[in-house]
Amino acid sequence: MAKQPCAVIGVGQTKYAAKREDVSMAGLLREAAKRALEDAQMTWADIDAVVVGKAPDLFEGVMMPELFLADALGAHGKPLLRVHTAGSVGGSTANVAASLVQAGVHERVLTVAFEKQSESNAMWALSIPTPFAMPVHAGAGGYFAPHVRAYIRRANAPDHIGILVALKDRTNALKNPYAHLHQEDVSYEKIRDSMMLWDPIRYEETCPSSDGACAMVLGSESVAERSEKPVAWVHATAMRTEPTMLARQDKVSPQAGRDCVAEVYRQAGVTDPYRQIDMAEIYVPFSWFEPMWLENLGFAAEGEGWKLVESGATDLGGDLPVNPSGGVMSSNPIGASGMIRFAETALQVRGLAGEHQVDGARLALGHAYGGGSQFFAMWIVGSEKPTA
Amino acid sequence: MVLAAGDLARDVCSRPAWIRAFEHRVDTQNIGMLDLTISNSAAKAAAAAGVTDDRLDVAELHAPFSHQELILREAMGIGDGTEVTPSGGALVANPMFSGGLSRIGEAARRIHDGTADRTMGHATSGPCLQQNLVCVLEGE
Repeated sequence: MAKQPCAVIGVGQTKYAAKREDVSMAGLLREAAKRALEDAQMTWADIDAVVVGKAPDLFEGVMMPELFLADALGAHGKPLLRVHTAGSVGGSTANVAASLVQAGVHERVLTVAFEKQSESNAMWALSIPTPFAMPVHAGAGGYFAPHVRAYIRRANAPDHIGILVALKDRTNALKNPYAHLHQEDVSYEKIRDSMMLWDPIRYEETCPSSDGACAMVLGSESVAERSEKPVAWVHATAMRTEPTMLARQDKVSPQAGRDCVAEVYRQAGVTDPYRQIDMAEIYVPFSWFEPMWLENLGFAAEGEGWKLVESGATDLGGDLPVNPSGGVMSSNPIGASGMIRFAETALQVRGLAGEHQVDGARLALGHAYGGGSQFFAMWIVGSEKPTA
Repeated sequence: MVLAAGDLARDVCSRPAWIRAFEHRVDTQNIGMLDLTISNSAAKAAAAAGVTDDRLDVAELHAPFSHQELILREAMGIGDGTEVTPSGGALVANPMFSGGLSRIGEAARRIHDGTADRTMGHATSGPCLQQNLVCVLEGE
């Protein structure tokens, strides 16, 4: 069925930090939302509907936070929709917001995703036994470390790949004023010598815990064409899911991820992703996930992702820059992390990414995953309006 | 609930319940700013969905507390000619997070079985009817 064209008109991010004690949850959201509205040259009154996303309620211990945040989000008297797909939620939220424009339901949609980890304990929330669900003891790292080990064994990858990714992302973060971690003294040796947390994942190969919010204003074709600033056209959106505890799930390269990316490539007419995609923002909470996802996303053949990393192809000046923003490795407000990936791709194809701008970025892939590699959400945005 | 578009719906269902309008609105949770004897968000959603314009055979309201039905009827302009919550609604069964979907399902069922031509399912969320959703369904 034919979709209406949709574009990102505005992007807003908060400064990401371990503790944003200067703002409440509502204040955090407004900081991002107001910046997105300013970027879009709009006011709250211009917005038709609000779509908000965050990770599990248990993280901050607030049940259905969208209800108490309704007025802070400027949603009073308007449609307000909350999306929840664990760590991938920021991406899913953007896709749902885009669908409201693509379906012709709304002209201007504000979408916001957030997490205030300082008011929560994600490690605890992920580790307590909840009914009908496998407890993820020792937080996300304890859950994902065996998958990384399986990847290293299968791909016969050398130990330093995780260090290289961490070094790249933390170095990129120095060019991103919003990034949580600004490690001026970051070095290969410091990462290598950091404490082993969940073997084979070292402390410095792990994402931080952050407070933060990210927002975007999405607009219809007529709204986008009236924009004075460059916009990012949505070329493809897709989401795919599989059961976390499915016995035959391939944790190293989940089928849902492969299906999801195949669908966005199909929609965007991408047949050779490594050549056609100019840059990607990929959800990499532990550095080893970069080579794993490079393979899952078809940028490298199976077992070859780590070679792409080692070659420097994913560096800011490489063939396929990955996470020039510093990625999840440098800022991780969980519920927002997926949307930050999507928003950064929009900034890149708009040419507004500042110091971490990729030269000539015209087509970009945003990726998010969550829930024990269960949920996948992706989009492709471009500087040109899709022709189909 | 299974949704299908266009001719596919006609192929798999002898009398599909067509979604004619789907609207939702939220109010602030600051109840000090609200008149709790009315529901602005319900009125806005119903008006946007065209509930007040036309005849409605059945309205399945999600009213977990009995007084909420009175507020909702008034807000949405539901008159005496409309059968209200014939399923018994949330007062007889309230699996909270599917309570709203049940109302839409019951409203669709009356189209499917041919006992109504135009129905409405409603869902609410939050304290004091903070958020309200309206789905208007019709036969061919």
